Amino acid sequence: MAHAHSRSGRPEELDQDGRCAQVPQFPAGVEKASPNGDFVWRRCPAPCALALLPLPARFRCSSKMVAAVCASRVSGLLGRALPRVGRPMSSGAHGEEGSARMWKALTYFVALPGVGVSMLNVFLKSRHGEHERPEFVAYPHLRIRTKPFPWGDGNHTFFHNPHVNPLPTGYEDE
Amino acid sequence: MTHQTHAYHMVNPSPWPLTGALSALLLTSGLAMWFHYNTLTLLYLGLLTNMLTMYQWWRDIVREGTYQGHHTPIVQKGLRYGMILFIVSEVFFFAGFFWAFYHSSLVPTHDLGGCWPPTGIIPLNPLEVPLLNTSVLLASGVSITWAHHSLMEGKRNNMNQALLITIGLGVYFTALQASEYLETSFSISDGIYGSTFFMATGFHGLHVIIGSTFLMVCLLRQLKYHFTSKHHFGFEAAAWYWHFVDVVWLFLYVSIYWWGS
Repeated sequence: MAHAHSRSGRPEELDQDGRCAQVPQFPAGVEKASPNGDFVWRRCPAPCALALLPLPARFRCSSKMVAAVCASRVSGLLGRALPRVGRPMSSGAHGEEGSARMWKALTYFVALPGVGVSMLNVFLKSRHGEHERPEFVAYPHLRIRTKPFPWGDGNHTFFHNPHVNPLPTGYEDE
Repeated sequence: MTHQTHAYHMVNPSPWPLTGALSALLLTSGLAMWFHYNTLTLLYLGLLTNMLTMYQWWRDIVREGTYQGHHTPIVQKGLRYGMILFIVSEVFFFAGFFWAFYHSSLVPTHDLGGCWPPTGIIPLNPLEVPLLNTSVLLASGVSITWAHHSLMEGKRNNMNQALLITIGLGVYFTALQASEYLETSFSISDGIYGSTFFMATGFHGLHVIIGSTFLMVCLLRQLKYHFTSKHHFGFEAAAWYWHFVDVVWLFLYVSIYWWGS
């Protein structure tokens, strides 16, 4: 059975589902259970430190709200410095446990195949054949050389490709 | 009093801000020496001291947070603000290059032929490698989200796999861009088209390399069990930075590759 630390140092009793076995003390006016039974207000009498550990939900308090109550009690001691434990999951979570599975599926079935299709597209387009490189025209607004490059002979750009990049005087291999 | 009674982190004195500033001086003066006097010594010194400063400063932050427990929630909040503000500053950095591009391309001058792309410039086909690059970065955004959720759910193998895929895609992007740079018929010296193209995409590529490096550091830390499912701000910062890099690429693709072609 899992243990939690209470103020008095006694381990908290947990039932076999890992939930607080303490008798519920409902604040006045609070429903005992939600209509579909999946959410119950319970008040842990002691701060449930288990709620703060990175364990799956079933080892912590039985609902997000209980965990939040526990965390708020502890954070009350620390001057509200703790983050809320039962934090709302944003951006694409369909369930606290299921969201990693969803993103994994998206990665393998959507994102990576998309990359594959794009790769295929590039491959097919490249097989179209090399087209003629354009004739060299010494436009004054291109191949500008106001000062030499600090490398080599100062006349070649950093990614110079002699086949497709002419110098100011023309293609090198003509 | 022998212990602090607040949750903030009073950082111990450190030499790294000084070495960082000195490295910045060596880098700038080194560049000037290289451009004007054809000597690389100062620049190499600057690069070396810069790398050493970054390694040691960030190593110290990891020690303070992961091993010494100084990164309380309020300290983490400050780190979050810091990363957000840094990324905002980077947004403004890129805004300048986009401004230059739109200024030049919306009203092309007479000497370019009064058109955009300018006369004599053959732009890249946006539906070939640039589209592949887009799919690569978008896919990496999905895989890094998978990594984050796996981390939060304590799924260690999944997290390692997802992070590795993300880094792989980042490296693939860099390789693709490098090969594109070698294949373009235009260069940085080809007027304002070349300048705006290579400044914008070049700095973006540098940021992809920086982001990939950040993610690799996260992978190494993850393998060493630094992250917990609740506390992993280093990873979150890397993820934010990576998404920023992705968004910048989308703007680049739409503006320069697609509209500008």
